[in-house]
Amino acid sequence: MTVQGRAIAGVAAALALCGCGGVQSAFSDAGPEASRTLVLTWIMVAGGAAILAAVCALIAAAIWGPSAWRGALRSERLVFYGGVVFPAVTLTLLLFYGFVLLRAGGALADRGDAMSISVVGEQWWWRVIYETADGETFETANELRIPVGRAVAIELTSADVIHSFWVPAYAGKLDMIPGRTNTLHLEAEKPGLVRGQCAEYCGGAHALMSFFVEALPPEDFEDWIAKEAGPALASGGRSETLFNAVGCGGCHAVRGTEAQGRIGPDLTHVASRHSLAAATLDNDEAAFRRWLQAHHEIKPENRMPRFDFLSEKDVDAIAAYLGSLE
Amino acid sequence: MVISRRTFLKAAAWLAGLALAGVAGAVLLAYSGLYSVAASRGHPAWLDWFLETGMRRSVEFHSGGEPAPDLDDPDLISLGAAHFQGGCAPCHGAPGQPINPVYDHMLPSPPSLSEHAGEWSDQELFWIVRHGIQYAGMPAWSGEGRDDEVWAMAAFLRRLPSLDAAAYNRLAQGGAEIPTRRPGAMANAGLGALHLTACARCHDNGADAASDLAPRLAGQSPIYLQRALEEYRNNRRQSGVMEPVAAELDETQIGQLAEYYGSLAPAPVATTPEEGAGAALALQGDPDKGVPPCGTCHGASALADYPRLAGQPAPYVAGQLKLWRKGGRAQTPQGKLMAEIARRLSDEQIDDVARYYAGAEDVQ
Repeated sequence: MTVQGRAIAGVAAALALCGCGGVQSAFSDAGPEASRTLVLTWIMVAGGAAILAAVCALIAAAIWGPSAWRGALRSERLVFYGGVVFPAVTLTLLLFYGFVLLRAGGALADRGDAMSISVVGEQWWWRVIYETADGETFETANELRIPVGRAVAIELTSADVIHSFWVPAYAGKLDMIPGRTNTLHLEAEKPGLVRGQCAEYCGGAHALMSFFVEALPPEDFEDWIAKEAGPALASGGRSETLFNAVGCGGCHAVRGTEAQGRIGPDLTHVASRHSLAAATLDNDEAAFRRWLQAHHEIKPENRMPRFDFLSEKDVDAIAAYLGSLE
Repeated sequence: MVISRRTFLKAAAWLAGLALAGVAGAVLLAYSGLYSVAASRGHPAWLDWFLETGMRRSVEFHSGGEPAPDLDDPDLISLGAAHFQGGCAPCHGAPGQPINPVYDHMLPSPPSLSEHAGEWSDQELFWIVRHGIQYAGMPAWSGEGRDDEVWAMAAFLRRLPSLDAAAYNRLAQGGAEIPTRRPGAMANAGLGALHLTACARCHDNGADAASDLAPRLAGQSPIYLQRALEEYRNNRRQSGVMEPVAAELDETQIGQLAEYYGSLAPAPVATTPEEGAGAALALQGDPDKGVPPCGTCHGASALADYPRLAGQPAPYVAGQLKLWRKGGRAQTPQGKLMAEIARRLSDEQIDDVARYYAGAEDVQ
């Protein structure tokens, strides 16, 4: 291999390794379910590599080996033990190991203190419904916050087509099927921010249907849920009036104001989220402006109608209002 | 019979030669200028027959296909009548109004429709009004995609032969009053005749307004009214009825009319809002289908750029929603927004919500 070739191979290997880490990776496991899955992955990778090496060695022996070896390799016994018994035993063991792994979520469920969060897949965003300690529910969108060290039961369903809920750092994928509720159990072992993604093609903007999950220490989580359950903190004055006069409140709710829409994402505390438009844009006023003016380019065919007639000034005012909804 | 190859070729050559000579003759005739195109000269009888027959056969051949609505609907008839007075009577005359001598000297001269409308079927009347007639001065309908308006005209034409001058005036005048002018005023400003831009013909505030297919304008925001008239004038909102009206108005007049109607108090609504599906859609929307509550944008506290729907006649609201759903009003940014919502509505929901608004006081 030339020096140049080695350099290219080195860079490629480094890039490949980089691709395995980060906020949306099954290799950056942050909870027991994902850890078990990762162990299974390594067992399969290592086992697969060993089997591949053994088969290559046998092929080499069959071609170039001494005639005694080649004679042995021709025997029916080798075909029977290597080709029938070995795969049957290996696959059966893996199957049972897989069953044990699948029960891992069940183990979390059995702990009984699981906290429940409902997530509804919609084209192309996530409706998230929390229940507070006193049984009240409230909505948020495109983001989950969960307490560290506590089992979380995520009730998954869909409002339109089949989606799939996947937070690689915490658990495997689970489909969201219209008319059916699937429950996914997970637990965060340490605080941190990870990213999830819809993992079942659900229409044009499927790739732009992502979300963040933040695991918070229990006391921070309690503070957050108390704030999140409450009404909007900011009073927008003239720009709040404009937001409602334009009709935004027909589809979006800002709790504590006259905006009570239930069609699109709840915006009560939208400015405190880690992203906008289901982890498609950063969360700042410029992003709100971009969304208001060009959401059909950012996320084609989304259900929000276009407000192309709003003046720059009105767009600025509405963006500022949304940016103030901490 | 066996035709020899030689005979066949000979005949073909003759035919080709004749055709060529015919074309050359026609070009020569046109180029020489010998044929007189004078309208004063009239057509020779044979040409009259040729053109008339061609026109009638063409209309018969091309019309049909469009299912006709109920042409006895009084709303259709009166809407058609109001537009007829401004758009058609100048050429075709009307009961009590002879054809203007200027237009009577066209060739062909526009027929009196009181006499001739009966010669055509519903579908044929629709087709002629919709598409116009080449070489006859009959224009096509100026509102694209507004077959609903064309049917209003057809409904009126169906009725026209049975109308005397008084009955015609009642229909065409709608809610407008024609001022009687003193000789001095008449000498300077002309007759106070029923003009195309007499908005009150159709947009009268009274409970007995001419047609429930036209909106009531009293109490709408001037900003919205101004936008609507400008859209008609710029051919961005389609209507064969309103485009010619708006074309006659300049910006100042549009502003003045918008202010005038904005300052009028809306007529009180006769009925109380119904409970039920229409009220639910207007006040809560249909979230499962992505339909927001209509009242969010069409209630009292919405943008002045949006129309208020309370008290609007049901046939108008339903007709416009169906037009939106077909994409007929998606040429403006505001229209695009509404088209998106209208597409999520079923026929039944449209009728429900239209009925609700016909009887609604202004809602939030």
